[in-house]
Amino acid sequence: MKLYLDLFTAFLKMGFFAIGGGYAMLPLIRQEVLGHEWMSNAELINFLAVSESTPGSMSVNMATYIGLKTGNIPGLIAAVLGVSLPSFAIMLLIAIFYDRFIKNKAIAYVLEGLKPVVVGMIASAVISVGEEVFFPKGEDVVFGPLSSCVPFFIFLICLGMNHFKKGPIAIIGVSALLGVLAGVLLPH
Amino acid sequence: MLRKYSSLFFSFFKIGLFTFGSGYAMITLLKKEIVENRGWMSERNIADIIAIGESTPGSISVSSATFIGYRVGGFSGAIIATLGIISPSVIIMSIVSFFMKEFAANVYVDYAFAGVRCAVLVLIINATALLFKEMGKYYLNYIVMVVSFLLLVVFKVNVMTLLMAAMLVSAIAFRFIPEDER
Repeated sequence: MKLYLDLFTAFLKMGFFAIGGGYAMLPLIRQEVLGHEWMSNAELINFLAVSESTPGSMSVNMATYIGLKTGNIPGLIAAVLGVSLPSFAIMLLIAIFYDRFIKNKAIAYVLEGLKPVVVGMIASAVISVGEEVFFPKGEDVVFGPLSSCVPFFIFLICLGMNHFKKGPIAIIGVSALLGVLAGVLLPH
Repeated sequence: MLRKYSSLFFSFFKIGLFTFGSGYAMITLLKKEIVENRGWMSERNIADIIAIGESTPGSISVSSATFIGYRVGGFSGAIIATLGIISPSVIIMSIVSFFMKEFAANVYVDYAFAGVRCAVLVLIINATALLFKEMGKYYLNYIVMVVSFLLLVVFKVNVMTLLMAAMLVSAIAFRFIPEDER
């Protein structure tokens, strides 16, 4: 029972503070998911790629995956309910009081004030994910010392594809292929 | 009545099924299904909903489904539309999580994911750039941005504490700073 309650409250927090779209909430997701040891750091980043290549919003995908993994079907229900409840409740209130909401300057001002904080948060996610990608530790080490610079080259290629407006699924596909090629062909 | 509910469910199921990546990809689909196919709302309404969805907590997909569902079919409509949009993710992720467990020990999958993590880093950098572009360019915003970053990276401050503090400071500023100086 405690697990379901933990899942529900953790995802409720993530749902409530998911401002600025999926990745902006990465620091909060890391804090909750790694804190409860529901996933390892590398597993979390793998998951982001899988979520990016399958339909649906990251938060609901994450709730489904972790809920199912830690608490089976009841876990899934607890996590998905937790993550969708805040947007549901807030949007329901807004739909009911639509005209008053649109004119409320205080709400708009507070939300505007959060924007720079959210940019700072997502930039901090770049650092933590970068650390895991370029300097993995323990079980997460995939490429041996001889090919430890491989992630750096794959990163540069992905950055180039992104610059030329290739979509996320194409970038993820190419990066997976390069990872396998490097793993098979290069000495470790 | 039943017909209205079932068409709400399937419209949002379809939108949920074809929304890859961020909510932005969803906007085109939302317009086509809600405005053109069903005539439930005007295009102007959709733009409003996206703007509200972006500036309130939660994913844009759930937010827009709840809002449109309520407008079309009241409280039950809101629940049915929300269920419709999250169902595809839940079903597909359940299947995917089964395969992720199955292939977790495979060395080629390990290599592939080591490559994929580099791609994820690029996607996050991309999202950072997008949010940065949307941020108002004042000195105060730059300072808040850098301080938030340092608090998280160097001082490992709790994320919720940071967000709540930022909300509080904004609310106090709104109350005490005269309108023309904000």
